[in-house]
Amino acid sequence: MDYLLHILIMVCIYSIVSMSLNILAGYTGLLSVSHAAFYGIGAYTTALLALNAGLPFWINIPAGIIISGVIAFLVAWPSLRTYDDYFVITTFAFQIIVFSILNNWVSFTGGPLGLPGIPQPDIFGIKISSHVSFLIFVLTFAVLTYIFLNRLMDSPFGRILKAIREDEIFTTSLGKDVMKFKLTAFIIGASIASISGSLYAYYISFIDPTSFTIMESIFILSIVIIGGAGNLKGSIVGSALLIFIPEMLRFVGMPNSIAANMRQIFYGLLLVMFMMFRPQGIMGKFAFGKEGGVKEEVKKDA
Amino acid sequence: MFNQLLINSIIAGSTYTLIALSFSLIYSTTKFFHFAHGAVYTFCPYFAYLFTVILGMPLFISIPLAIVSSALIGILIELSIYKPLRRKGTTPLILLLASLGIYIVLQNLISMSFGDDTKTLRSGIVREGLEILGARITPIQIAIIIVSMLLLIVCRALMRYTKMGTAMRAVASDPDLAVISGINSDGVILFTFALGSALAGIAAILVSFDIDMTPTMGMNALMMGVVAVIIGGVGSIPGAALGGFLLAFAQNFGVWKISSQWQDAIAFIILLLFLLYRPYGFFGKKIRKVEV
Amino acid sequence: MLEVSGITKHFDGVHAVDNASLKISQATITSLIGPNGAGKTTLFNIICGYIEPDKGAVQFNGKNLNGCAPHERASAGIGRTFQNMRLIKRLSALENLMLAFNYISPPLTGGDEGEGEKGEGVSENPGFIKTLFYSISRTHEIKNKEKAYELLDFVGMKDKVYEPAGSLSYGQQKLLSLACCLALDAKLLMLDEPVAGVNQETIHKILSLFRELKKSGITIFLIEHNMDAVMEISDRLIVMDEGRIIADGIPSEVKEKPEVIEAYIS
Repeated sequence: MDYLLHILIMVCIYSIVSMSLNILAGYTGLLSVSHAAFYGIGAYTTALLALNAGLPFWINIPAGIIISGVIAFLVAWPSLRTYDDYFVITTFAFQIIVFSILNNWVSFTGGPLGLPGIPQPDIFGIKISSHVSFLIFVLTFAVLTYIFLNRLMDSPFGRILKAIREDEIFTTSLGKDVMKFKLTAFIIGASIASISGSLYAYYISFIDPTSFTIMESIFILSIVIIGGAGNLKGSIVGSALLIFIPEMLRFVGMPNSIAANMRQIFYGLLLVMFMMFRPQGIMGKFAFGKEGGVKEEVKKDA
Repeated sequence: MFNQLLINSIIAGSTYTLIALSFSLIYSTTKFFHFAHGAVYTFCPYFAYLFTVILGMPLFISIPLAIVSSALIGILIELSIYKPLRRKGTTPLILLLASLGIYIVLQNLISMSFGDDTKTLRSGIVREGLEILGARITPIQIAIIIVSMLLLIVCRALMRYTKMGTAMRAVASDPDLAVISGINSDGVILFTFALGSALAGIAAILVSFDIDMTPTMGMNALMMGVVAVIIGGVGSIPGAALGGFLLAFAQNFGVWKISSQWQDAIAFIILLLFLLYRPYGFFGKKIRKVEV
Repeated sequence: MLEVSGITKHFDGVHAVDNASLKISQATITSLIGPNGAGKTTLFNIICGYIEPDKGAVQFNGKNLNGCAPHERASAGIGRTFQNMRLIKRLSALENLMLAFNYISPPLTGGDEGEGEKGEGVSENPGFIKTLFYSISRTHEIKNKEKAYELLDFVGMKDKVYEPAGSLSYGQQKLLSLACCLALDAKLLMLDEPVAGVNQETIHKILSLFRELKKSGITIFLIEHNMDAVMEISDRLIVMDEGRIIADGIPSEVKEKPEVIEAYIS
């Protein structure tokens, strides 16, 4: 039972981070592989504040959001000058750089050894320690995130993001500052990703840089793509799929040593299959330019 | 000290150049980021390991066999995934994502089959290496430099003086025109994958003899190759060399002053600078055009 | 209204536009014609800000546009349609129009903007949160929607409001693009081949819309290859060839000029 709760908690955490990436990648068409960096920044901010300053979660999590937001601005500002696949490479570079900082700045982040002993969050003195209470804690955040992002995407703002995804030049011709919108989308996505990081830090109570690598970024992106780019519900479905199924493999007697490999092969294969046959994923609205078989050819200077 | 850094830079530069060359050939004809190239790279020394250590073949058979196997993997990926995608119409982004998926699958297959621990192709003791001008260099490292430079020259000649080379350049500069002119662009692409994969395999084997091998070696090698290509300019063979050496020097002399753990960060900061300010590198042509 | 002086642009050593100058007066219809590759679309792109010229200046309503980004020029009142139809195909016709509106809708006749609902008024200072999330208050969304219905009615597409733009006919898409410019409250419409590829009936419809727009003070500057339409609707004709403007004047006169005839034959 505890095991099932554990999986549900992870699904919630990944739902939040993949919904946040969906805003960027699915709704605005900005495929970023730097999201694990912001996930990590949230985790580290919360961990450091909780460990060193004993601050409660309702300060740590917003702090993470703000710091993620600021760093997102620094990353996005130059990155958004590149397009399409070059944008992916640019965010790849930023991801590696942020990871290097987390891994090498030992005095601040504990380096490869990480930060152990993160205290549990508490509400009015009651510690959230059991799996059940943590699930409720995380679920609340997930639901709030969903409601917030859903409303945002249904608003004029969301409409403009979708328009940017489909045809940037047309959107510009309607008087919209496309760069500003992309920046805002990026920052929102990164800030919300940091919430998952904070929750993750509280849950596992120990974090190290290996949870926030480029492979993690690619995993989160895969959830968004497989679940469905441009559809928040798709990210929830995708998270469930990509977390449940590999765990089920463990049940069917797969030896632990290759379980991690099989999990990666599972989503790697799904990624290839979907790209070949259904780029919009399970329930997505964006097919990376391959909508209805028509190639949208708007090439830009890198 | 300085001389050692110099030698190290030249060795690393040669490696990067070869990887950059292998990637550049494929990118300039297919115009997308073939991430799986990193896995193809990794496969070669592991094939060699399979043939040599597990099946007991002598090196002079297993190495060429491994290189051919690498080329075959590259061809297999092109035929089973990229070509069908191109047939039905696709975008560079979709190809990149598919390629990422392929990389993940292949890298994990290697991990599962051989384990994540470091393997080596060397037998016997590690030899000290020669001393040149106060710096140490091993025979394999000398081999890296010589082989890379040789292959660079051979490829340049191939591109300039052979029919296939001309066809490759045609497909690279204007795919539609190439097809109209009667060039079998699918065939050219296939050849490019075979060649590029083989070159990557050679690079990987050389590196494995020098510093052993792990299943994840490909991702890092690939990224260094990408950085080198972007510095030097896409589609330019001398550019690949310029990029490779510039990167190697920047990294080696850079970590002289700061700790070596920042090597990756240095490479990627350079990548960012070039992507943002000189996206076509030193010798490349503008890859994209505005279409309003 | 629009003044272009000495615009020059090279691409790879070729003069795409060579020292082009022209003036467009308000409430007129001007056509820009010329053989393929003459640089017409490039000139349009430069005026609208998508391409930076090597030399020259563009003035709109007396204001120098040099350095202004394309979206700023659009907001200033220059509407644009493109040679390759540009619309958001998966959004409905209505939603495409809604995209064009700013924080509040343009005035219905010219009088009743800025009623100061809770201090919002004219879109000058919509507040930090609003700018961040580009949110429009409910009332404004409703107002915008009403305006959108009106515009669709104006172009004769009232029944297609909720159709995805991608499933409209080519002619209807052209009308929708025109409507989007109007939703932008553009005072100058720069239209790239507005009647290309549509049937006679639609051409007539579009041309009569142009006449109506001209009556309400809107200026139209268009690129076209359809000579009949051009002769029928234009107050003025400008001819470009190989990047240069070779004729500029009343259509009936320009048509007869030897250099114009030569440009088309060679």
